[in-house]
Amino acid sequence: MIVGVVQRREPRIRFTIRGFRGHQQEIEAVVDSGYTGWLTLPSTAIAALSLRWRTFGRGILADGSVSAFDVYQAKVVWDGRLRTVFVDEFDATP
Amino acid sequence: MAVTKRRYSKEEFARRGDALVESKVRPYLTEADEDKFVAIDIETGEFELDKNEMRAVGRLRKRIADPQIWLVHVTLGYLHRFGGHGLRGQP
Repeated sequence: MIVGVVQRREPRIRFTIRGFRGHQQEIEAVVDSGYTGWLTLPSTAIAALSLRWRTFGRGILADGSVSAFDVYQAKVVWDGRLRTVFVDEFDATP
Repeated sequence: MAVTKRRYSKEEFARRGDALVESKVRPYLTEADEDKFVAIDIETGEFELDKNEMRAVGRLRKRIADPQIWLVHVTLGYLHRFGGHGLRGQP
């Protein structure tokens, strides 16, 4: 079971994300019920973790605007298991 | 192993990707494909369809060396929807 907290009306969870070459980082992320992807990270975190670029895609923001973004691959320790996920590059709080 | 990076501008990548999806994928889609993602290499036009976007990309990467993959849901026309939290920054 994943346990989080609510801060400033936002549900938040902490987990470890692993990139390439053994880089890893514990992050705190907001659980955004309107988001249909796995995880967003800013470009600085993506670079620090040496995440591998995988693809490019288009997204719809909450205000209806359209944006395109790079997608990387990472591993996260999720509910006790190591899982491979896609990470959308998005310069905002994860 | 060489590290793959995006080789085209965001605008060019999306333009090529959309054009290839329309010409190479959409004419052959059936009702069974309407809930799938298409991963298409914008340099070769090779593609994979799957309900799971990671599986589609994974299969295409096994077939194509160093691909430039455009990933989009065949019906929705986008990959992900961001909630209100995402507006605090910019992509």
